[in-house]
Amino acid sequence: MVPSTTVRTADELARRVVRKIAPEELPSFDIVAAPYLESPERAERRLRQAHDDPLGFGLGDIVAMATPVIALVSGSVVTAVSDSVGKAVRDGTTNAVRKAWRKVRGKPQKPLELPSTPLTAAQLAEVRQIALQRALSLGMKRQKAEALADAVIAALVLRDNDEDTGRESGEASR
Amino acid sequence: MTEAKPQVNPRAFPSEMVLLLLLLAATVLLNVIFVANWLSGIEHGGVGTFLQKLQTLLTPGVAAYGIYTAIRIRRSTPLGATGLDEANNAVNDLVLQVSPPRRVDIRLGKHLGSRAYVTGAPRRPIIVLGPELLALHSMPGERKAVFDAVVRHELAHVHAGDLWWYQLATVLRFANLSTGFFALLALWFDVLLNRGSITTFLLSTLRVAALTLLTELIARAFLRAREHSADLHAAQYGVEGLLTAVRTRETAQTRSVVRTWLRRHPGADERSQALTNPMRLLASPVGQAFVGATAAGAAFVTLQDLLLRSGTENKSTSVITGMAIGIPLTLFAAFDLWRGAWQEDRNRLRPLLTAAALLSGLVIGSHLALYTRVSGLAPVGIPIAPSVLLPLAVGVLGLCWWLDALSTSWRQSDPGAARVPAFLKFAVPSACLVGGWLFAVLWTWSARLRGVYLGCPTEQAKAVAICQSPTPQTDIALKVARDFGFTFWSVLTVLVVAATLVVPHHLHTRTLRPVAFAAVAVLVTLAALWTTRSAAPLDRARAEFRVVLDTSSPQALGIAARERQSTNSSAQAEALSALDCAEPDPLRGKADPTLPLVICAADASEKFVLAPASLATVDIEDAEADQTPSGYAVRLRFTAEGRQRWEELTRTNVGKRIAFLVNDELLSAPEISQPLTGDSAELPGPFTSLDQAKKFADAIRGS
Repeated sequence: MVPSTTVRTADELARRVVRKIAPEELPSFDIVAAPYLESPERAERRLRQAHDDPLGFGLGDIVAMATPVIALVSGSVVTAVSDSVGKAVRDGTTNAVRKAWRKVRGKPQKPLELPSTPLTAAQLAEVRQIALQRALSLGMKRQKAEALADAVIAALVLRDNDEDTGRESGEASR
Repeated sequence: MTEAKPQVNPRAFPSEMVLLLLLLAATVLLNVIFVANWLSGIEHGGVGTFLQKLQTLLTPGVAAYGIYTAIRIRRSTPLGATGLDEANNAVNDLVLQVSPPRRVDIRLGKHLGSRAYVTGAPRRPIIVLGPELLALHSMPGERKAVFDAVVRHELAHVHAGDLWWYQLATVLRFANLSTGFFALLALWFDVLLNRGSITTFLLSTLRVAALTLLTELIARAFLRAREHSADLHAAQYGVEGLLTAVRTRETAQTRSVVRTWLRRHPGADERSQALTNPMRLLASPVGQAFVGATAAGAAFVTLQDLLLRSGTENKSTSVITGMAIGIPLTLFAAFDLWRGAWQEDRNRLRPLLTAAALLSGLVIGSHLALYTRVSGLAPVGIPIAPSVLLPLAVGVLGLCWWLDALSTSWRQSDPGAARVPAFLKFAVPSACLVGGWLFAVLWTWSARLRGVYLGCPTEQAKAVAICQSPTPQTDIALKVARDFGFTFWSVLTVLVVAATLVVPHHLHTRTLRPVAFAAVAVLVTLAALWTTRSAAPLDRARAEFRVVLDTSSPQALGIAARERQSTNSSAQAEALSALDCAEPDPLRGKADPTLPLVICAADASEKFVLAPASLATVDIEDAEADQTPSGYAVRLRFTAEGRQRWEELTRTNVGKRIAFLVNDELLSAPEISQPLTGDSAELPGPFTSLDQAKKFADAIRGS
C-alpha cells in the first residue's frame, strides 16, 4: 500500500500545492476541490462559463479561489506525467474513448497515478511549463501562476518527504 | 456653506416594474384566453372546453417552473447533512439576522463554484450555495464580508417574495410560447389547405417572435430590478462586502446593449454605482417605457376583440378597453416619472421622451397583436394616420407633462421624499381618473376611425352615413364628444389637473398666485368648451330613410334582436312573422344602419322589412315642424349631396314605400308615386300636436 504521505495522485499533489501557496484554503480543500478532481472537463467548462442564474447573485464566480485552479493544474500534470511527458493531452483531458469504454465495461474510474520512478530534469522542466500554461489559461495572474508551477515541481521532487506534506502522522489518504 | 442635498431612498417609492410585469401579464393572459376561446369554440357555449384549453395553455409554464426547480433542488444536498457544521452555523446566524418571513432551507450545490441562488416553491424557499462561497465563511477580512453579503442578498430575495414574481414571469413566458405555437400551427394548416398565404404565415411568425422577445425583455428587466432591490436590502447590514463582490467582476462587464437588456442581472458596474449612490435607481431607461407601452398596445387590440366577440355592446367595448388597459399604463408611466422627479440630475426632457416612448410603443404594440388575426376577423392596430396620431401624441404628451409637474411640484415641499405615501394617496386616484378617461377617449377615437379606414372602402359599407360624409373625422370627433359627455368630463379632468398642481404648490409657498393662474386657465378652458359646444351640433338624432322590402300585420311572437338584422331573406321573413309590436323595441337607437331591419311602425299598426339606410342625418341640413291639412309633419331640408341622394332614391323606387326613421323609431312609410326633386321633403308622422313634431325636428337638427 502506498503511504499516504507521498504524492501519487492529483488529489495529493493539489493538496500539497494548496498548503504551499494558499494555506488559508486548506480547511475547505476537500469540498472545493472535489468537483475539479472528479470531472475536470465539466468543472472547467462551468468555471469558464458566464452564469446568469435567476435570483442568484449574478456575477458568476465572485471570489477567485486558488484551489480550483490548483486542482485542475494538478490533474493536467498527473495526466501528462503518467501518459509520459509530451504525449499528454495538454488541456487536462485524457482519452475520452478509453474513459467511455471503461465506463461501459463498468470498471471504476481509477485515479491516474504518478510513476514511482523519479522524474528527470527535462521532464520536470516540461511539467513546469505545462503547469504554468494551464494556470495562465485558467485566468491566474503570472506571478501567482509561476509560484504555483514552482510549488508543483517542489511537490514532485520532494514527493516522499513527510514534512513537506504536513499531514498528521497516520492520517488516511483520500 | 452649501446646504447638503437630501438623500432619497429609492425604496420609498413604489416600483413601476410591478406594473410593467402586470401589463405583460395582461397581454399574455388575454392572448391565452383568446386562443383558448378560439380553440374551444366558446362562442357556441363550450365553457368547460374553454377552461380545459386554458389549462392546456397555462400548464407548460407551471410545469417548466416545477421541472426547473426540481432539477436545481436535486443537484443539491441539505447543508446540515454535509458535515459542514461551521458553515451551516454561519449561514443560520445570517438567517436569524435578516429574519425572512418564511422558513428557509439551506443546501449545498456541489457544482456551483462560488455561485448562489434562491429556488424552490415560493412558500418553501431554498437557498443553494456553492462550495467555494461556503469556504469563505471561515476566511478572514473581506472574503468573510463577501460571504455575508452574498447570503444576505439571497435572503433579501426570500424576504421580498421574489420567487412569486419569478414563478409568474416563468408561467407568462411559457404561456406566451405555447399560444404562439398553437397560433402558428393553425396558420400553417391554413397554408396547407390553401386558405392562407405563406406571406401571412411568415408575417405572423415575425409577430410571434416579436411578442416572445417583448416578453423576455420585460421579464428580464423585472428580474434586474429585483436584483437591485435585493442589493439595497442587503446593503442595510453593510455595503463593503457587496462592493467587493461586485467590483471583482467590474472590468469584465463590457457588454453590448442587447446583452445588457437580455441579462437577468444588472452589470457589475451598474450595481457598484447603485450601491454607492442609490438615488441613481430613481431613473429608469426610456426603453422601459417603450416596452411597457408596446405590451399595452397589444393588450388594447386583443381585449377589444375579445369583448366584441363576447357580445358586449359595441359602443362600450372601446371605453372598457381604454380604461382597463389605460389605467395601469398611466400608473406605469406615472411611477416612472415620479421616481425620476426626485433624481439628482433629472433630465428636463424626461416627460417628452417618455411620451415619445409611450406613443411609439402603443402604435407598434397595437400592430403586434397576432391572435385577433388568426381567427379570420382582423381588427388591426392604431391607424398610422395624422388624424389619429396627432390627438394621441397630444394626449400622451399632456398626460406625461402633468404627471411630471405633479411630482416636481410636490418635491419642492418634500425634497427628501419623506411624505411619499401622502403624495401617492392623492396622486394615484387622480392619475387613474385622468389616465382612464384620456385613454378611453383616445382609444374610442382611434377604434372608430380605424372602422372608417378599414370599412368604408368596402362595397357593402358605401351606404353607411359616415362613409358618405366628406369629413368623417369631424363627425367621429363630435360623436365621441357626445358619447363621453365631453363637457362634464373635460371640466372634471381640468379641475383635477389644476387642483393637483396648485394645491401642493400653495401648501409650500402659501401664495395665491398659482391659484389665480389656475382659475384663469380653468375659465379659459370652460369658455373654449362652451364655444365648441355652441358651434357644434353635438346631439343630433339619427334620422334615416330605408326602402321598405316587405310588410305584415302586427300579431306575432317574441324574437331575438340579432335575427331582426339578418341579411338572409328567409330569416327576415321569419323575423317579420315573429316580431311582437306590443313589446318595447330593444333595438331602438342601437340598430346597425348598414344592415336590413325588421321593425314595427311607431303606432304598432304594421310591421316592415327595411333595406339598409340610404340617406342619413349627415345628408340633412335642417329640420322643422309643420302643420299640413292632414295633420302635423316634419319638413327636412337636404344638403347638396343629400338632395342628389334623395332624388336618386325616389327615382329608383317609384311605386315602393320609403320608411323614415328617427333613432330607429319608424315615423312614417309613404309610398313614392313619382320621382321627387328639390332640396326639401315633408314627412308625415304619428304626431298628435305641433309640439310633438317640433321635438323630433329639434332632435334631428341637433339644436
